[in-house]
Amino acid sequence: MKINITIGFFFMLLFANSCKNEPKPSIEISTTDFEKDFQTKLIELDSNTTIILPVGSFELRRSISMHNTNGITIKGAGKGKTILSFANQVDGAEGMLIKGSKNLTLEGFSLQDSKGDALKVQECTNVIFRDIETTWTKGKLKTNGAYGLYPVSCTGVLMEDCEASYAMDAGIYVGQSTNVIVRNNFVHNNVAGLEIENTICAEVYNNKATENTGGMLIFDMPDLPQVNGDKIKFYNNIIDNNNGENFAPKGMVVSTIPPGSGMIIMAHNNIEFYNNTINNHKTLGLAVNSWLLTGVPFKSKEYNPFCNNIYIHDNKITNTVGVIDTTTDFGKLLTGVLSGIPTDIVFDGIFSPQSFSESGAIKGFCLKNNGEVKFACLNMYKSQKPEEILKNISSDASIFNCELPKFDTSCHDSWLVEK
Amino acid sequence: MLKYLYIFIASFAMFLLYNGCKESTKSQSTTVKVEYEKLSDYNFFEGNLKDLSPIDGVIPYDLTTSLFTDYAHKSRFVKLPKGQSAEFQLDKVVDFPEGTVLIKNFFYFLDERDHTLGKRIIETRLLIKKADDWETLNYKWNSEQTEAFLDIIGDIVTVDWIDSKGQNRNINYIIPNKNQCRSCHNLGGKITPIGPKVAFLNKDFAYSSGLKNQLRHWGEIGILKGLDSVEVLPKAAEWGNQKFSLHERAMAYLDINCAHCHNAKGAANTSGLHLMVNAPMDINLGIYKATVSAGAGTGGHTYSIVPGSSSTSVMVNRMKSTNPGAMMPELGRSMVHEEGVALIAEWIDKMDKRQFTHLSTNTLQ
Repeated sequence: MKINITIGFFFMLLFANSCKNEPKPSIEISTTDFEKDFQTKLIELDSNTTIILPVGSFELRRSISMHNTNGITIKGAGKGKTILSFANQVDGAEGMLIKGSKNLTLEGFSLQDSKGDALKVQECTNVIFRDIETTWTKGKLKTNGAYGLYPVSCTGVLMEDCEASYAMDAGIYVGQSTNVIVRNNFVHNNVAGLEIENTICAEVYNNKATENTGGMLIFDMPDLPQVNGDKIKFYNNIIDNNNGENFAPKGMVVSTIPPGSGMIIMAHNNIEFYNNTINNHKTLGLAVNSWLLTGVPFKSKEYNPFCNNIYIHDNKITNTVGVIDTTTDFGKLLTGVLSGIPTDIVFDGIFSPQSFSESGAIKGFCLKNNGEVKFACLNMYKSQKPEEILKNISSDASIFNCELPKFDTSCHDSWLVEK
Repeated sequence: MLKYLYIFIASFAMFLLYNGCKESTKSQSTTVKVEYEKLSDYNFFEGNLKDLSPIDGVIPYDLTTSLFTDYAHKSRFVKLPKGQSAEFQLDKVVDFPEGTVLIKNFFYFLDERDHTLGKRIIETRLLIKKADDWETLNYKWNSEQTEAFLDIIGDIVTVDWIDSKGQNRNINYIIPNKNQCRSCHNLGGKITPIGPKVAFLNKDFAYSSGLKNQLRHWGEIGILKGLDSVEVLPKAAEWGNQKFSLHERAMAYLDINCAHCHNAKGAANTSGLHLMVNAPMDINLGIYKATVSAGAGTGGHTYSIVPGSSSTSVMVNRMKSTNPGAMMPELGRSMVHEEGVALIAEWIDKMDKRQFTHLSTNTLQ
């Protein structure tokens, strides 16, 4: 009887562990015919395979892609050690494109000089980006690709220990995704360092942004399949010296970011922004804006263009000094209404009618324990004319001295427990 | 008795163990795989392969407006399994039965001014209908033009020809790889043909038996059902035919060149830009629609379409570009389709911007 129980238990144990213990078969890509071999494998291979990329720098003329294959790990020797160079690319709108795959891990390689976005991962579920680098090697050019690391319309994203630089839009861009963790990444010399856009349920922590035009952004854009980004916890990030020129072509939303912007939050719902360090910016430390400030029209009825429930606490915002940017509309506006003095925290003050209580007080915006900060609320809900803004502007942060209830972002934990 | 129970439990556990980690969403069709190494193995054509003379049951067809592919000519055929027929579907691709093959040959005349001088066939693309999906197979022609071989990885080949104005043309023609085939032929995650929608098939074709409407012909020979009750068939404009209005021509052009990605279920749904032939004239068609991730494609402009101003419309800028990071469509061309750009530019320039003022302002102003 005892033996029988043992046997039963043994099989149960086997069953429970079978998924973990079964090693994925792995194949290594040839160094001599890298591009063709890599692409062929990505077309032909079965699910649950590890693809090993060798050490070396490899020239690719065409975009590399994979569609709908599950359980794939693509693993290089490390960023800077396995390099995919797209400098002579003639085909494809991104360096690498992965679509419709589940349980995907991308680890340990660099992508350089793609003509468009560097690494686009679309409609995938449970994706890990680890130790990946995306960059453009010729400096800050408006002909660089737009996004470096670019998960879009994904569910379950973990991005860690990555580096993204010289993107002419955002180095790291997480768009229209759900259940996201972005941590321990380094973004520098992009227009936007790190951008979380139209995303629901994310934690962004321990990242560093420096020498971008704008360090980090949380945006919500209209007229997209997933609108109304929600529930973002943003903490322990270092946002330092993002005073780089804005080299994005006009017409892109990020081309409106004033050089010298630490952090910009736009049109978003439920953000807890805490324990971050924002240092050395010439225009602003932290801005909280409405989509309406852009002046760009939208149609979507379900889209909320206003910020709501923004809780900013225990941040260190220092050394916001210099000459405010005058190359962008927002920079010019700030220069005009703030007498050219940079501000630690600025609200455009385009509040939703729902943001006012019956007594007329503004709710859903709280600032607490951020030290001595220079603050300005432009109160543009009253008027958007600069001469009127000058009359309506307020530098009194005390009316926003409040706390907001914490919200739950544990939704992504289920698949991350084992990672 | 108990012993058997444990054996059963153990077997069950083994079964679970064996199946527990299986995971595959690669479409596994129940049908026999029909995939040959050589195009000639399919026996679609008789005589010299390069003459593309179809055998009985391989039906040539054409579209009112077709996708621009670097000025390549295309000859198309459809082959249905013997005795079977497709179902008519309004506003959609005809519902073909399992085993149907769509055959598309891409070629260049050596001299556009004199087609008798010969042609060079570059590739033949097949779409084969499986149980609930389609398979893409691509065949690259040899330089002797005697055979085409299965090629999943694609290629970049140099092509020379003389255009209709007598100019020498030379391009790097890109044969797509299998994943790139999927990128365009993708609707809600399933591989889907792009061209053979009823509205785009609705035109006359010069059959050996005489000129006849393609859909009516398909009905007569029994490969298309469900037409009888339809009195007026939808028709997408022929983009270069002035008998159609400018708007009709532009919309047909956008549909066949863009809508395979730019629809609510397509690869470009993340952009919110929808370019189907029947799309309403509003922001999702691009009118005063700010771009989201156009990158270098903006050309310094804000909106996809600015009524009355093609020169500041991102859409036209992207059609005029040949930079892979900026151009539209993203795949399938390395040249600018000058005539296509002219059509869309004229359409935008002739839009009356007063009709769209409601789209050009946001709610605060």
